[in-house]
Amino acid sequence: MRQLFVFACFTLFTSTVISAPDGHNLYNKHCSVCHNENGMGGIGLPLNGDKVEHFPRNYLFKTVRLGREGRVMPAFSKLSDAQINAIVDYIFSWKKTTTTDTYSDSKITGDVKNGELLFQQKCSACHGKDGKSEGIGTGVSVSRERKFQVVPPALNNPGFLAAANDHWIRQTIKTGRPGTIMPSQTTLQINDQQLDDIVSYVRSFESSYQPHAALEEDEPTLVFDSPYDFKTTIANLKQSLQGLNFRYFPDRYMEMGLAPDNKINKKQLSLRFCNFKQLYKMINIEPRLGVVLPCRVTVVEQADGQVKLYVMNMKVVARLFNNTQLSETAEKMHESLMELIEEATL
Amino acid sequence: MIRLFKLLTIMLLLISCNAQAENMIMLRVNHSFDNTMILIKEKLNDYGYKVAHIQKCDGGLTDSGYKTDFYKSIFFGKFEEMQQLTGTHPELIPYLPLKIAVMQEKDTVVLVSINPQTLSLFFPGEELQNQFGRWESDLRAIFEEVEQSKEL
Repeated sequence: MRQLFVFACFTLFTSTVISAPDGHNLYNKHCSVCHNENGMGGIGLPLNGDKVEHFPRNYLFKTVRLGREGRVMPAFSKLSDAQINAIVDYIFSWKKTTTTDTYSDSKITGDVKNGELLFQQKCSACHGKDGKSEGIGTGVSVSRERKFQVVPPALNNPGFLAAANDHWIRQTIKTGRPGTIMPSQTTLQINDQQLDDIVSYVRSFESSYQPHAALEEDEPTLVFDSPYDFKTTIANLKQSLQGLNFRYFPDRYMEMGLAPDNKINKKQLSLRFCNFKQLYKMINIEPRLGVVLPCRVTVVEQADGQVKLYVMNMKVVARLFNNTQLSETAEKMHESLMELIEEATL
Repeated sequence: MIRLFKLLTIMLLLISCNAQAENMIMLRVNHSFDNTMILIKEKLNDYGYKVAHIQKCDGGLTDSGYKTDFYKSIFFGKFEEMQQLTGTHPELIPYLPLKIAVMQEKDTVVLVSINPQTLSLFFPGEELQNQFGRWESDLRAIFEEVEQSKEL
């Protein structure tokens, strides 16, 4: 036992104290799947070239640590400060300059009401009327068409507001963002006081933040009793699917493909369906959606003859993606599914 | 004293593992799309899983006039495991078989799966926790092997 204890202490010591974190490896392990190998972007925003040229270290550090709630970027709460700093160093190695900009943490005091007026005139077309961004989805356009090549940040996001101090926001508006359509103060035609007013308005988003519901609050699986027999329930579902503009795929028994046909349970049938217009919209919002596709109702006849319908609760599962736009769309999808079940089991 | 040693040892090992509880297990590889599909199938077989079917998300979208790149979902599982779980825990039915989404992004391919361990948030119980843990461990190993495999 004592030897095991010594081994555990040694493992901890060597993994966290002796070996300095390797930013390149850490980036590849935690970031590259979304931001791409050389920071080119994909599911996540691009970070290469001049994208992070004037980023203050603290902004990037806090962005990794806190993430962006509802905007795909997760919070890396388990990484040590040294590991995050190593990742930041690696990302900064792509900059053209070697200097790192710093900005005062002091508060900028402007006229919030005037800032709101200016924000609606100058900023809302990209950042949204309430600061939640007009862009669909996140990251950069890769395979699909999008309104913005790089999705504008949601300025009302608690992660953004915690990571960006007032002076960094001010500087960003002053100079614009290279490689994006974010214009500079000169292009926006605003004076320094107006710039301060906009910063104060952006900061005021902090007071309107509402946290998301916890994952465990709803049932992940919705179960319904059908008053009909197995075959009739399936026929009813297909009829309702057509009425609701879904295209359904060939029937599949749940265990099909995993064992020879004569062994599989023929009283568990999955009805798979899709509305491609809706799917296209949802994949633009969340490219990883394939892990829950296609929509499906599984009809099961139990040993006692009772027929039950099992459906994934999209409202719950959507929250796994940390993508508010997807959650909103999933609510509508959930309503369609409920309509389908109601019609089929009426 | 021994109990304290045991507790400390477990805690230290857990800390040293520095496990991230991500909702998704993801990987980006430089292989071509077709080779990635072949590699995933091979590795799934190596770990005792069978590919039940492959859903072509891109086919349906392009047929409907939408622009998209290669995008497929691989459904996989183990027959006996599936038989047993759908009987004892029918609430898992919508989450089975397990899935890996495979999508192309320019010259790279991204693999995504819901982290099975995340399902423990929804479905408690020791037996299921062990099952989810096994799936997570297998998926991570499969993804790692796909990443390390050379282009076919």
